[in-house]
Amino acid sequence: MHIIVCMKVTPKTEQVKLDPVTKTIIREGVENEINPADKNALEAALQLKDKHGCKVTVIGMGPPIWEPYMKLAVAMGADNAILLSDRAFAGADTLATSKVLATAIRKIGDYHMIFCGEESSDAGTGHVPPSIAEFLGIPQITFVNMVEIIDGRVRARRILEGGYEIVEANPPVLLSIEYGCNTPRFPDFRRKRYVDREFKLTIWGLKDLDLKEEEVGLKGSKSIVEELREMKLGERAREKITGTEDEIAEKILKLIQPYIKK
Amino acid sequence: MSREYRGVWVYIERRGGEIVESSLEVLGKARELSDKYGDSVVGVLLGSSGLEKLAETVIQHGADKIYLVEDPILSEYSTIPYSEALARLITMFKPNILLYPATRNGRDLAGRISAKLSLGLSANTVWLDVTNDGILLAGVPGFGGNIMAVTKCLSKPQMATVRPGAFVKLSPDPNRRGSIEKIDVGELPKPRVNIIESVKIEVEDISKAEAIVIAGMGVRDNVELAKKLAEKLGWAFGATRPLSDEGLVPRDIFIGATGKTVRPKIALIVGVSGAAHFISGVAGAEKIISINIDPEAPIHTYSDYSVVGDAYKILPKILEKVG
Ligand SMILES: Cc1cc2nc3c(=O)[nH]c(=O)nc-3n(C[C@H](O)[C@H](O)[C@H](O)COP(=O)(O)OP(=O)(O)OC[C@H]3O[C@@H](n4cnc5c(N)ncnc54)[C@H](O)[C@@H]3O)c2cc1C
Repeated sequence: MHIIVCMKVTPKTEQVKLDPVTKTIIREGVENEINPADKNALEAALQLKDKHGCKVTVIGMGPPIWEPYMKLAVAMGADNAILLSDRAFAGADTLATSKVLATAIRKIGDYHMIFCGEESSDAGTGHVPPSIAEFLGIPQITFVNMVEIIDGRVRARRILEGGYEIVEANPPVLLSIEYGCNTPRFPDFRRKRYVDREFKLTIWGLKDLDLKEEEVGLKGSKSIVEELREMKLGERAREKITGTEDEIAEKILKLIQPYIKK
Repeated sequence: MSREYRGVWVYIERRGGEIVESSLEVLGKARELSDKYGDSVVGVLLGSSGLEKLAETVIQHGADKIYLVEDPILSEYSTIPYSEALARLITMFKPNILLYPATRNGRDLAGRISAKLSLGLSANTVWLDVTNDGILLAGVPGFGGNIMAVTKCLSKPQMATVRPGAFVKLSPDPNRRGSIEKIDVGELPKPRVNIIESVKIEVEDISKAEAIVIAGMGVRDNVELAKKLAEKLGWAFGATRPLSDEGLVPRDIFIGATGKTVRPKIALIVGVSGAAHFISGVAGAEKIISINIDPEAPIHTYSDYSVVGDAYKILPKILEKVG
Protein backbone atom coordinates (compact mmCIF):
# COMPACT_ATOMS: atom_id res chain seq x y z
CA MET A 1 0.00 0.00 0.00
CA HIS A 2 1.05 3.55 -0.63
CA ILE A 3 0.41 6.12 2.10
CA ILE A 4 0.69 9.83 1.42
CA VAL A 5 1.26 11.96 4.52
CA CYS A 6 0.38 15.66 4.37
CA MET A 7 2.68 17.75 6.48
CA LYS A 8 3.18 21.36 7.35
CA VAL A 9 5.76 23.30 9.28
CA THR A 10 4.60 25.54 12.10
CA PRO A 11 6.25 28.03 14.45
CA LYS A 12 6.59 26.76 18.01
CA THR A 13 3.41 27.93 19.70
CA GLU A 14 4.96 29.18 22.91
CA GLN A 15 7.31 31.49 21.04
CA VAL A 16 4.71 33.25 18.93
CA LYS A 17 3.92 36.85 19.85
CA LEU A 18 1.92 39.60 18.24
CA ASP A 19 3.62 42.90 17.49
CA PRO A 20 1.49 45.32 19.54
CA VAL A 21 1.91 48.12 16.98
CA THR A 22 1.71 46.48 13.56
CA LYS A 23 -0.63 43.68 14.73
CA THR A 24 1.36 41.16 12.76
CA ILE A 25 3.07 38.03 14.03
CA ILE A 26 6.68 38.48 15.03
CA ARG A 27 8.58 35.81 13.10
CA GLU A 28 12.14 36.74 13.95
CA GLY A 29 13.79 34.36 16.35
CA VAL A 30 10.87 31.97 16.38
CA GLU A 31 11.82 28.33 15.88
CA ASN A 32 9.87 26.11 13.51
CA GLU A 33 8.97 22.47 13.83
CA ILE A 34 7.02 19.83 11.95
CA ASN A 35 3.42 20.44 13.01
CA PRO A 36 3.04 18.16 16.06
CA ALA A 37 -0.07 16.30 14.89
CA ASP A 38 1.50 15.77 11.43
CA LYS A 39 4.45 14.12 13.12
CA ASN A 40 2.02 11.72 14.78
CA ALA A 41 0.45 11.12 11.33
CA LEU A 42 3.87 10.35 9.88
CA GLU A 43 4.66 8.00 12.77
CA ALA A 44 1.35 6.18 12.25
CA ALA A 45 2.22 5.73 8.56
CA LEU A 46 5.74 4.53 9.39
CA GLN A 47 4.36 1.97 11.84
CA LEU A 48 2.20 0.55 9.04
CA LYS A 49 5.28 0.57 6.82
CA ASP A 50 7.21 -1.42 9.45
CA LYS A 51 4.41 -3.95 9.67
CA HIS A 52 3.18 -4.29 6.09
CA GLY A 53 5.94 -2.78 3.98
CA CYS A 54 3.87 0.20 2.82
CA LYS A 55 5.44 2.97 0.79
CA VAL A 56 5.27 6.39 2.45
CA THR A 57 5.38 9.70 0.59
CA VAL A 58 5.31 13.02 2.39
CA ILE A 59 3.90 16.16 0.77
CA GLY A 60 3.64 19.69 2.05
CA MET A 61 2.69 23.06 0.60
CA GLY A 62 5.02 25.78 1.76
CA PRO A 63 8.05 27.96 1.10
CA PRO A 64 11.52 26.57 0.19
CA ILE A 65 12.66 27.00 3.82
CA TRP A 66 10.61 23.90 4.61
CA GLU A 67 13.16 21.73 2.80
CA PRO A 68 15.04 20.56 5.94
CA TYR A 69 11.76 19.49 7.57
CA MET A 70 10.69 17.52 4.50
CA LYS A 71 14.10 15.86 4.58
CA LEU A 72 13.72 15.16 8.28
CA ALA A 73 10.58 13.18 7.43
CA VAL A 74 12.62 11.10 4.99
CA ALA A 75 15.31 10.58 7.61
CA MET A 76 12.57 9.34 9.95
CA GLY A 77 11.63 6.72 7.39
CA ALA A 78 9.48 8.19 4.60
CA ASP A 79 10.42 6.92 1.12
CA ASN A 80 9.94 10.18 -0.69
CA ALA A 81 9.04 13.81 -0.09
CA ILE A 82 7.51 16.41 -2.37
CA LEU A 83 7.36 20.11 -1.56
CA LEU A 84 4.67 22.13 -3.30
CA SER A 85 6.20 25.53 -3.50
CA ASP A 86 5.30 28.54 -5.57
CA ARG A 87 4.81 32.22 -4.86
CA ALA A 88 1.29 31.85 -6.22
CA PHE A 89 0.41 29.45 -3.36
CA ALA A 90 1.03 32.09 -0.67
CA GLY A 91 -1.78 33.49 1.45
CA ALA A 92 -4.02 30.45 0.97
CA ASP A 93 -6.95 29.71 3.26
CA THR A 94 -7.87 26.09 4.05
CA LEU A 95 -9.91 25.76 0.85
CA ALA A 96 -7.11 26.89 -1.48
CA THR A 97 -4.56 24.84 0.50
CA SER A 98 -6.67 21.69 0.25
CA LYS A 99 -7.11 22.21 -3.48
CA VAL A 100 -3.36 22.34 -4.10
CA LEU A 101 -2.69 19.32 -1.89
CA ALA A 102 -5.52 17.33 -3.50
CA THR A 103 -4.29 18.18 -6.99
CA ALA A 104 -0.76 17.07 -6.14
CA ILE A 105 -2.09 13.84 -4.62
CA ARG A 106 -4.06 13.18 -7.80
CA LYS A 107 -0.86 13.71 -9.78
CA ILE A 108 1.00 11.21 -7.59
CA GLY A 109 -1.86 8.90 -8.41
CA ASP A 110 -1.25 5.42 -7.01
CA TYR A 111 -2.23 6.02 -3.37
CA HIS A 112 -4.31 3.92 -0.97
CA MET A 113 -4.36 6.07 2.12
CA ILE A 114 -3.81 9.72 2.93
CA PHE A 115 -2.79 10.66 6.45
CA CYS A 116 -3.07 14.20 7.82
CA GLY A 117 -2.59 15.52 11.34
CA GLU A 118 -5.95 16.26 13.01
CA GLU A 119 -5.16 19.97 13.00
CA SER A 120 -2.24 22.37 12.88
CA SER A 121 -0.86 24.00 15.98
CA ASP A 122 -1.01 27.48 14.42
CA ALA A 123 -4.38 27.90 12.71
CA GLY A 124 -5.89 24.78 14.26
CA THR A 125 -8.80 24.53 11.84
CA GLY A 126 -8.77 20.80 11.11
CA HIS A 127 -10.56 21.66 7.84
CA VAL A 128 -7.87 20.59 5.43
CA PRO A 129 -8.32 16.81 5.85
CA PRO A 130 -12.06 16.68 5.02
CA SER A 131 -11.60 19.24 2.23
CA ILE A 132 -8.86 17.17 0.57
CA ALA A 133 -11.05 14.06 0.81
CA GLU A 134 -13.95 15.88 -0.83
CA PHE A 135 -11.77 17.20 -3.67
CA LEU A 136 -10.55 13.67 -4.32
CA GLY A 137 -14.03 12.18 -3.94
CA ILE A 138 -12.87 9.66 -1.34
CA PRO A 139 -14.18 8.84 2.16
CA GLN A 140 -12.59 10.30 5.28
CA ILE A 141 -12.09 9.11 8.84
CA THR A 142 -11.24 12.04 11.08
CA PHE A 143 -9.76 12.16 14.62
CA VAL A 144 -8.21 8.71 14.49
CA ASN A 145 -5.94 7.45 17.26
CA MET A 146 -5.41 3.89 16.06
CA VAL A 147 -5.25 2.42 12.56
CA GLU A 148 -4.77 -1.07 11.20
CA ILE A 149 -4.86 -2.75 7.82
CA ILE A 150 -6.92 -5.94 7.90
CA ASP A 151 -7.29 -7.97 4.70
CA GLY A 152 -6.76 -4.90 2.59
CA ARG A 153 -9.34 -2.87 4.49
CA VAL A 154 -8.60 0.06 6.76
CA ARG A 155 -9.82 -0.20 10.33
CA ALA A 156 -9.59 2.79 12.64
CA ARG A 157 -10.63 4.04 16.04
CA ARG A 158 -12.26 7.45 15.77
CA ILE A 159 -12.40 9.52 18.95
CA LEU A 160 -15.60 11.45 19.54
CA GLU A 161 -17.00 13.44 22.42
CA GLY A 162 -18.26 10.92 24.96
CA GLY A 163 -16.78 7.83 23.36
CA TYR A 164 -15.34 6.38 20.20
CA GLU A 165 -16.20 4.45 17.07
CA ILE A 166 -14.43 1.55 15.43
CA VAL A 167 -14.89 2.03 11.71
CA GLU A 168 -13.84 0.35 8.49
CA ALA A 169 -13.42 1.54 4.94
CA ASN A 170 -11.95 0.29 1.71
CA PRO A 171 -9.03 2.25 0.31
CA PRO A 172 -8.57 4.84 -1.00
CA VAL A 173 -9.44 6.67 2.22
CA LEU A 174 -8.17 9.73 4.06
CA LEU A 175 -7.48 9.66 7.81
CA SER A 176 -6.77 12.54 10.15
CA ILE A 177 -4.57 11.38 13.00
CA GLU A 178 -4.81 12.65 16.55
CA TYR A 179 -2.06 14.66 18.12
CA GLY A 180 -0.32 12.66 20.87
CA CYS A 181 -1.62 9.22 19.82
CA ASN A 182 1.88 7.79 19.39
CA THR A 183 5.51 8.73 20.03
CA PRO A 184 7.19 9.89 16.83
CA ARG A 185 10.56 8.22 16.25
CA PHE A 186 13.86 10.00 15.92
CA PRO A 187 15.57 10.14 12.53
CA ASP A 188 17.52 7.03 11.71
CA PHE A 189 21.28 7.59 11.50
CA ARG A 190 21.72 5.69 8.23
CA ARG A 191 18.75 7.32 6.59
CA LYS A 192 20.01 10.68 7.70
CA ARG A 193 23.25 10.02 5.87
CA TYR A 194 21.31 8.97 2.78
CA VAL A 195 19.28 12.18 2.97
CA ASP A 196 22.40 14.32 3.35
CA ARG A 197 24.30 12.65 0.51
CA GLU A 198 21.87 11.35 -2.04
CA PHE A 199 18.23 12.22 -1.51
CA LYS A 200 16.86 15.01 -3.66
CA LEU A 201 13.65 16.71 -2.65
CA THR A 202 11.09 16.99 -5.45
CA ILE A 203 9.63 20.47 -5.79
CA TRP A 204 6.45 21.12 -7.73
CA GLY A 205 5.23 24.59 -8.57
CA LEU A 206 2.00 25.86 -10.08
CA LYS A 207 3.09 24.86 -13.60
CA ASP A 208 3.52 21.26 -12.47
CA LEU A 209 -0.05 21.03 -11.27
CA ASP A 210 -3.27 21.12 -13.23
CA LEU A 211 -4.46 24.35 -11.62
CA LYS A 212 -5.03 27.97 -12.60
CA GLU A 213 -3.53 30.87 -10.74
CA GLU A 214 -7.01 32.06 -9.70
CA GLU A 215 -7.61 28.78 -7.88
CA VAL A 216 -4.64 28.93 -5.54
CA GLY A 217 -3.12 31.12 -2.84
CA LEU A 218 -4.80 34.32 -1.78
CA LYS A 219 -6.71 34.56 -5.08
CA GLY A 220 -8.24 31.13 -4.63
CA SER A 221 -9.23 31.78 -1.02
CA LYS A 222 -12.79 32.31 0.15
CA SER A 223 -11.99 33.65 3.58
CA ILE A 224 -9.66 36.44 4.61
CA VAL A 225 -8.15 37.66 7.83
CA GLU A 226 -9.24 41.22 8.59
CA GLU A 227 -7.05 41.75 11.62
CA LEU A 228 -5.18 39.92 14.36
CA ARG A 229 -5.90 40.55 18.01
CA GLU A 230 -3.94 39.46 21.00
CA MET A 231 -6.12 37.34 23.24
CA LYS A 232 -6.02 38.15 26.87
CA LEU A 233 -5.35 34.64 28.02
CA GLY A 234 -5.54 36.15 31.43
CA GLU A 235 -2.30 37.09 33.12
CA ARG A 236 -3.19 37.33 36.77
CA ALA A 237 -1.97 38.70 40.06
CA ARG A 238 0.24 35.71 40.82
CA GLU A 239 0.21 36.16 44.57
CA LYS A 240 2.90 33.83 45.90
CA ILE A 241 2.02 31.31 48.56
CA THR A 242 5.13 30.30 50.46
CA GLY A 243 6.17 28.51 53.62
CA THR A 244 6.67 24.93 54.69
CA GLU A 245 4.54 22.33 52.92
CA ASP A 246 2.25 22.30 55.92
CA GLU A 247 1.85 26.07 55.90
CA ILE A 248 1.23 26.10 52.16
CA ALA A 249 -1.47 23.43 52.53
CA GLU A 250 -3.05 25.49 55.33
CA LYS A 251 -3.12 28.64 53.17
CA ILE A 252 -4.56 26.81 50.18
CA LEU A 253 -7.21 25.29 52.41
CA LYS A 254 -8.25 28.77 53.56
CA LEU A 255 -8.65 29.87 49.95
CA ILE A 256 -10.70 26.85 48.90
CA GLN A 257 -12.74 26.50 52.10
CA PRO A 258 -15.75 28.54 50.87
CA TYR A 259 -16.07 26.28 47.82
CA ILE A 260 -15.92 22.91 49.55
CA LYS A 261 -19.10 20.92 49.07
CA LYS A 262 -20.09 18.38 51.63
CA MET B 1 -28.30 44.06 1.59
CA SER B 2 -28.32 41.30 -0.98
CA ARG B 3 -31.61 39.53 -0.43
CA GLU B 4 -30.65 36.52 -2.50
CA TYR B 5 -29.08 34.87 0.53
CA ARG B 6 -31.10 34.94 3.71
CA GLY B 7 -31.36 33.22 7.03
CA VAL B 8 -28.92 32.40 9.78
CA TRP B 9 -28.73 28.63 9.72
CA VAL B 10 -27.50 26.39 12.45
CA TYR B 11 -26.59 22.77 11.83
CA ILE B 12 -28.16 20.98 14.78
CA GLU B 13 -26.02 18.02 15.73
CA ARG B 14 -27.84 15.01 17.02
CA ARG B 15 -26.60 11.82 18.61
CA GLY B 16 -29.23 9.15 18.75
CA GLY B 17 -32.40 10.81 20.00
CA GLU B 18 -30.63 13.74 21.60
CA ILE B 19 -29.54 17.15 20.49
CA VAL B 20 -25.89 17.85 21.20
CA GLU B 21 -25.86 20.69 23.71
CA SER B 22 -23.36 22.85 21.86
CA SER B 23 -25.76 23.13 18.91
CA LEU B 24 -28.13 25.02 21.19
CA GLU B 25 -25.34 27.36 22.30
CA VAL B 26 -24.69 28.16 18.65
CA LEU B 27 -28.42 28.68 18.16
CA GLY B 28 -28.50 31.24 20.97
CA LYS B 29 -25.75 33.21 19.28
CA ALA B 30 -27.47 32.85 15.89
CA ARG B 31 -30.59 34.43 17.41
CA GLU B 32 -28.59 37.44 18.55
CA LEU B 33 -26.83 37.86 15.17
CA SER B 34 -30.05 37.46 13.24
CA ASP B 35 -31.89 40.04 15.38
CA LYS B 36 -29.03 42.46 14.89
CA TYR B 37 -29.43 42.68 11.10
CA GLY B 38 -33.06 41.60 10.78
CA ASP B 39 -33.06 38.03 9.54
CA SER B 40 -34.48 34.74 10.76
CA VAL B 41 -32.91 31.71 12.44
CA VAL B 42 -33.24 28.31 10.81
CA GLY B 43 -32.25 25.02 12.44
CA VAL B 44 -31.28 22.12 10.20
CA LEU B 45 -31.90 18.62 11.50
CA LEU B 46 -30.94 15.44 9.69
CA GLY B 47 -31.98 11.94 10.73
CA SER B 48 -34.00 8.86 9.90
CA SER B 49 -37.34 9.64 11.57
CA GLY B 50 -39.13 11.16 14.50
CA LEU B 51 -37.29 14.48 14.35
CA GLU B 52 -40.34 16.66 15.06
CA LYS B 53 -39.93 16.41 18.81
CA LEU B 54 -36.34 17.53 18.59
CA ALA B 55 -37.42 20.30 16.24
CA GLU B 56 -39.75 21.66 18.96
CA THR B 57 -36.82 21.83 21.37
CA VAL B 58 -34.80 23.73 18.80
CA ILE B 59 -37.61 26.22 18.30
CA GLN B 60 -37.90 26.77 22.05
CA HIS B 61 -34.20 27.61 22.09
CA GLY B 62 -34.49 30.36 19.51
CA ALA B 63 -35.18 29.05 15.99
CA ASP B 64 -37.92 30.51 13.75
CA LYS B 65 -37.95 27.62 11.35
CA ILE B 66 -36.65 24.08 11.11
CA TYR B 67 -35.74 22.16 7.99
CA LEU B 68 -35.91 18.42 8.50
CA VAL B 69 -34.42 15.87 6.18
CA GLU B 70 -35.51 12.31 6.96
CA ASP B 71 -33.94 9.30 5.32
CA PRO B 72 -32.97 5.91 6.80
CA ILE B 73 -29.43 6.52 5.52
CA LEU B 74 -29.19 9.48 7.90
CA SER B 75 -29.89 7.49 11.08
CA GLU B 76 -26.40 8.17 12.46
CA TYR B 77 -23.80 10.67 11.36
CA SER B 78 -21.76 9.63 8.38
CA THR B 79 -19.78 12.10 6.28
CA ILE B 80 -20.85 11.17 2.76
CA PRO B 81 -24.68 11.14 3.08
CA TYR B 82 -24.78 14.01 5.61
CA SER B 83 -22.59 16.30 3.55
CA GLU B 84 -24.59 15.54 0.43
CA ALA B 85 -27.94 16.22 2.15
CA LEU B 86 -26.73 19.48 3.66
CA ALA B 87 -25.11 20.65 0.42
CA ARG B 88 -28.39 20.12 -1.42
CA LEU B 89 -30.31 22.09 1.22
CA ILE B 90 -27.82 24.95 0.93
CA THR B 91 -28.14 25.00 -2.84
CA MET B 92 -31.95 24.95 -2.62
CA PHE B 93 -32.42 27.67 0.00
CA LYS B 94 -29.26 29.82 -0.09
CA PRO B 95 -28.70 30.85 3.53
CA ASN B 96 -26.68 33.96 4.33
CA ILE B 97 -24.87 32.39 7.27
CA LEU B 98 -24.36 28.77 8.26
CA LEU B 99 -22.97 27.90 11.69
CA TYR B 100 -21.93 24.49 13.00
CA PRO B 101 -20.91 23.44 16.49
CA ALA B 102 -17.14 22.78 16.33
CA THR B 103 -17.57 19.27 17.64
CA ARG B 104 -15.64 16.50 15.94
CA ASN B 105 -18.50 15.57 13.65
CA GLY B 106 -19.37 19.24 13.12
CA ARG B 107 -15.84 19.91 11.90
CA ASP B 108 -15.81 16.70 9.85
CA LEU B 109 -18.94 17.91 8.06
CA ALA B 110 -18.09 21.61 7.67
CA GLY B 111 -14.68 20.95 6.09
CA ARG B 112 -16.31 18.66 3.57
CA ILE B 113 -19.04 21.19 2.69
CA SER B 114 -16.43 23.92 2.25
CA ALA B 115 -14.73 21.94 -0.53
CA LYS B 116 -17.98 20.60 -2.01
CA LEU B 117 -19.48 24.03 -2.58
CA SER B 118 -16.26 26.06 -2.64
CA LEU B 119 -17.20 28.09 0.41
CA GLY B 120 -15.09 29.98 2.92
CA LEU B 121 -15.16 28.59 6.45
CA SER B 122 -13.93 30.08 9.73
CA ALA B 123 -12.80 27.53 12.29
CA ASN B 124 -13.50 27.03 16.01
CA THR B 125 -14.73 30.56 16.42
CA VAL B 126 -14.98 32.03 19.90
CA TRP B 127 -16.36 35.42 18.92
CA LEU B 128 -18.95 36.34 16.29
CA ASP B 129 -20.46 39.60 15.12
CA VAL B 130 -22.45 40.76 12.12
CA THR B 131 -22.66 44.07 10.27
CA ASN B 132 -25.97 45.76 9.54
CA ASP B 133 -25.94 44.26 6.07
CA GLY B 134 -25.37 40.73 7.27
CA ILE B 135 -21.62 40.34 6.85
CA LEU B 136 -20.28 37.87 9.40
CA LEU B 137 -17.13 38.66 11.36
CA ALA B 138 -15.66 35.60 13.02
CA GLY B 139 -12.97 35.39 15.70
CA VAL B 140 -10.71 32.41 15.11
CA PRO B 141 -8.23 31.57 17.85
CA GLY B 142 -4.73 30.74 16.60
CA PHE B 143 -1.55 29.45 18.17
CA GLY B 144 -3.45 27.62 20.88
CA GLY B 145 -5.48 30.70 21.74
CA ASN B 146 -2.70 33.27 22.01
CA ILE B 147 -3.95 35.28 19.10
CA MET B 148 -7.37 35.76 17.55
CA ALA B 149 -7.77 36.37 13.83
CA VAL B 150 -10.91 38.25 12.83
CA THR B 151 -11.96 36.62 9.57
CA LYS B 152 -14.53 37.28 6.89
CA CYS B 153 -15.90 34.94 4.24
CA LEU B 154 -15.93 36.05 0.60
CA SER B 155 -18.61 33.56 -0.40
CA LYS B 156 -22.18 32.82 0.67
CA PRO B 157 -23.35 31.24 2.82
CA GLN B 158 -20.69 32.57 5.17
CA MET B 159 -19.72 29.59 7.27
CA ALA B 160 -18.15 29.12 10.68
CA THR B 161 -17.74 26.35 13.21
CA VAL B 162 -18.27 27.53 16.79
CA ARG B 163 -16.27 26.38 19.81
CA PRO B 164 -18.39 24.46 22.31
CA GLY B 165 -18.68 26.56 25.45
CA ALA B 166 -17.96 29.85 23.67
CA PHE B 167 -21.59 30.99 23.94
CA VAL B 168 -24.51 30.19 26.20
CA LYS B 169 -27.79 28.69 25.10
CA LEU B 170 -31.02 30.60 25.67
CA SER B 171 -33.35 29.29 28.33
CA PRO B 172 -36.15 27.41 26.59
CA ASP B 173 -39.32 29.35 25.94
CA PRO B 174 -42.27 26.91 25.69
CA ASN B 175 -44.40 29.62 24.11
CA ARG B 176 -42.08 30.25 21.18
CA ARG B 177 -43.64 29.25 17.88
CA GLY B 178 -41.89 28.30 14.71
CA SER B 179 -42.49 26.34 11.55
CA ILE B 180 -41.23 22.87 10.75
CA GLU B 181 -40.72 21.86 7.12
CA LYS B 182 -39.76 18.44 5.84
CA ILE B 183 -37.57 18.74 2.79
CA ASP B 184 -37.09 16.07 0.15
CA VAL B 185 -33.53 16.28 -1.08
CA GLY B 186 -33.73 13.21 -3.33
CA GLU B 187 -31.79 10.00 -3.16
CA LEU B 188 -28.67 10.16 -1.01
CA PRO B 189 -25.37 8.33 -1.46
CA LYS B 190 -24.59 5.52 0.98
CA PRO B 191 -21.96 5.83 3.71
CA ARG B 192 -18.51 4.66 2.59
CA VAL B 193 -17.19 4.22 6.12
CA ASN B 194 -18.87 1.47 8.15
CA ILE B 195 -19.26 1.80 11.87
CA ILE B 196 -18.33 -1.58 13.34
CA GLU B 197 -18.74 -0.57 16.95
CA SER B 198 -19.85 2.59 18.70
CA VAL B 199 -18.75 2.91 22.30
CA LYS B 200 -20.11 5.44 24.76
CA ILE B 201 -17.97 6.40 27.69
CA GLU B 202 -20.02 8.13 30.35
CA VAL B 203 -18.11 10.78 32.21
CA GLU B 204 -19.29 13.69 34.23
CA ASP B 205 -19.59 16.85 32.10
CA ILE B 206 -16.98 19.11 33.61
CA SER B 207 -17.75 22.12 31.44
CA LYS B 208 -20.34 23.51 33.89
CA ALA B 209 -18.38 22.76 37.07
CA GLU B 210 -18.28 25.49 39.72
CA ALA B 211 -15.05 24.23 41.22
CA ILE B 212 -12.44 21.92 39.76
CA VAL B 213 -9.10 20.26 40.45
CA ILE B 214 -7.00 20.00 37.28
CA ALA B 215 -4.06 17.63 37.05
CA GLY B 216 -1.15 17.71 34.59
CA MET B 217 1.85 15.59 33.71
CA GLY B 218 3.60 16.82 36.84
CA VAL B 219 1.44 14.42 38.88
CA ARG B 220 1.37 11.57 36.36
CA ASP B 221 2.82 9.11 38.86
CA ASN B 222 -0.08 9.67 41.22
CA VAL B 223 -3.06 11.08 39.38
CA GLU B 224 -5.23 9.39 42.01
CA LEU B 225 -4.01 11.88 44.58
CA ALA B 226 -5.48 14.82 42.67
CA LYS B 227 -8.62 12.87 41.90
CA LYS B 228 -9.08 11.93 45.53
CA LEU B 229 -8.76 15.56 46.55
CA ALA B 230 -11.41 16.54 43.98
CA GLU B 231 -13.74 13.89 45.39
CA LYS B 232 -13.19 14.95 48.95
CA LEU B 233 -13.89 18.59 48.13
CA GLY B 234 -16.94 17.68 46.08
CA TRP B 235 -15.30 19.27 43.04
CA ALA B 236 -15.06 18.20 39.42
CA PHE B 237 -11.84 16.65 38.16
CA GLY B 238 -10.11 17.64 34.94
CA ALA B 239 -6.72 17.16 33.31
CA THR B 240 -4.37 18.26 30.54
CA ARG B 241 -4.33 16.54 27.20
CA PRO B 242 -1.08 14.58 27.59
CA LEU B 243 -2.49 12.78 30.66
CA SER B 244 -5.41 11.72 28.53
CA ASP B 245 -3.17 10.83 25.55
CA GLU B 246 -1.29 8.51 27.89
CA GLY B 247 -4.54 6.88 28.90
CA LEU B 248 -4.22 7.96 32.54
CA VAL B 249 -7.53 9.83 32.48
CA PRO B 250 -10.61 9.63 30.19
CA ARG B 251 -10.64 11.62 26.92
CA ASP B 252 -13.59 13.77 27.85
CA ILE B 253 -12.07 15.47 30.84
CA PHE B 254 -9.12 17.14 29.24
CA ILE B 255 -9.23 20.90 29.05
CA GLY B 256 -7.93 23.27 26.42
CA ALA B 257 -8.00 24.32 22.79
CA THR B 258 -8.89 20.83 21.60
CA GLY B 259 -10.80 19.79 24.71
CA LYS B 260 -13.25 21.26 27.18
CA THR B 261 -13.68 24.87 28.11
CA VAL B 262 -14.42 25.43 31.80
CA ARG B 263 -15.56 28.52 33.67
CA PRO B 264 -15.44 27.55 37.33
CA LYS B 265 -15.47 29.94 40.28
CA ILE B 266 -12.27 28.29 41.42
CA ALA B 267 -9.67 26.00 39.87
CA LEU B 268 -6.81 24.26 41.67
CA ILE B 269 -4.28 23.38 38.98
CA VAL B 270 -1.48 20.97 39.88
CA GLY B 271 1.52 19.82 37.87
CA VAL B 272 0.50 21.72 34.75
CA SER B 273 3.03 23.77 32.76
CA GLY B 274 0.52 26.27 31.36
CA ALA B 275 0.86 25.90 27.56
CA ALA B 276 -1.34 28.22 25.48
CA HIS B 277 -3.26 25.20 24.16
CA PHE B 278 -4.24 24.42 27.74
CA ILE B 279 -4.71 27.92 29.18
CA SER B 280 -7.30 28.92 26.59
CA GLY B 281 -9.61 26.33 28.18
CA VAL B 282 -9.43 27.74 31.71
CA ALA B 283 -8.98 31.44 31.00
CA GLY B 284 -12.59 32.01 32.06
CA ALA B 285 -12.06 30.75 35.62
CA GLU B 286 -12.75 33.31 38.33
CA LYS B 287 -9.93 32.22 40.58
CA ILE B 288 -6.90 30.09 39.77
CA ILE B 289 -4.57 28.52 42.31
CA SER B 290 -1.63 26.57 40.94
CA ILE B 291 1.08 24.30 42.27
CA ASN B 292 4.13 23.72 40.09
CA ILE B 293 7.62 22.71 41.11
CA ASP B 294 9.28 24.84 38.44
CA PRO B 295 9.42 28.56 39.28
CA GLU B 296 9.73 29.35 35.55
CA ALA B 297 6.60 27.45 34.48
CA PRO B 298 4.20 29.76 32.58
CA ILE B 299 1.24 28.57 34.70
CA HIS B 300 2.34 30.87 37.53
CA THR B 301 1.70 33.91 35.33
CA TYR B 302 -1.89 32.78 34.77
CA SER B 303 -2.60 32.21 38.45
CA ASP B 304 -4.17 34.40 41.11
CA TYR B 305 -2.28 32.41 43.72
CA SER B 306 0.73 30.31 42.91
CA VAL B 307 2.86 27.86 44.76
CA VAL B 308 6.33 26.85 43.68
CA GLY B 309 6.41 23.41 45.23
CA ASP B 310 6.01 19.67 44.96
CA ALA B 311 2.41 18.61 44.43
CA TYR B 312 3.16 15.08 45.64
CA LYS B 313 4.02 16.54 49.03
CA ILE B 314 1.45 19.35 49.25
CA LEU B 315 -1.66 17.49 48.06
CA PRO B 316 -1.53 14.85 50.83
CA LYS B 317 -1.31 17.64 53.40
CA ILE B 318 -4.38 19.35 51.98
CA LEU B 319 -6.21 16.01 51.95
CA GLU B 320 -5.28 15.48 55.56
CA LYS B 321 -6.56 18.89 56.60
CA VAL B 322 -9.84 18.60 54.71
CA GLY B 323 -10.36 15.52 56.86
C1 LIG C 1 -2.62 20.89 18.13
C2 LIG C 1 -2.40 20.82 19.60
C3 LIG C 1 -3.49 20.86 20.45
C4 LIG C 1 -3.33 20.78 21.82
N1 LIG C 1 -4.45 20.83 22.61
C5 LIG C 1 -4.29 20.76 23.96
C6 LIG C 1 -5.43 20.84 24.84
O1 LIG C 1 -6.57 21.00 24.41
N2 LIG C 1 -5.23 20.74 26.18
C7 LIG C 1 -3.98 20.57 26.70
O2 LIG C 1 -3.86 20.48 27.95
N3 LIG C 1 -2.91 20.50 25.91
C8 LIG C 1 -3.03 20.59 24.56
N4 LIG C 1 -1.92 20.51 23.77
C9 LIG C 1 -0.61 20.22 24.40
C10 LIG C 1 0.01 21.44 25.03
O3 LIG C 1 0.75 22.13 24.06
C11 LIG C 1 0.95 21.03 26.18
O4 LIG C 1 1.88 20.11 25.70
C12 LIG C 1 0.22 20.41 27.38
O5 LIG C 1 -0.83 21.26 27.82
C13 LIG C 1 1.17 20.19 28.52
O6 LIG C 1 0.55 19.42 29.53
P1 LIG C 1 1.07 19.40 31.02
O7 LIG C 1 1.12 20.79 31.52
O8 LIG C 1 0.25 18.41 31.75
O9 LIG C 1 2.51 18.74 30.87
P2 LIG C 1 3.95 19.39 30.89
O10 LIG C 1 4.06 20.49 29.92
O11 LIG C 1 4.88 18.25 30.79
O12 LIG C 1 4.06 20.04 32.32
C14 LIG C 1 4.18 19.35 33.51
C15 LIG C 1 4.48 20.36 34.58
O13 LIG C 1 4.48 19.73 35.83
C16 LIG C 1 5.48 20.32 36.63
N5 LIG C 1 5.87 19.35 37.67
C17 LIG C 1 6.67 18.26 37.55
N6 LIG C 1 6.74 17.61 38.72
C18 LIG C 1 5.98 18.28 39.59
C19 LIG C 1 5.65 18.09 40.97
N7 LIG C 1 6.14 17.07 41.65
N8 LIG C 1 4.83 18.98 41.56
C20 LIG C 1 4.33 20.04 40.85
N9 LIG C 1 4.61 20.27 39.56
C21 LIG C 1 5.41 19.38 38.93
C22 LIG C 1 6.60 20.65 35.69
O14 LIG C 1 7.37 21.71 36.22
C23 LIG C 1 5.83 21.06 34.44
O15 LIG C 1 5.63 22.45 34.38
C24 LIG C 1 -2.04 20.65 22.38
C25 LIG C 1 -0.94 20.65 21.54
C26 LIG C 1 -1.11 20.73 20.16
C27 LIG C 1 0.10 20.73 19.29
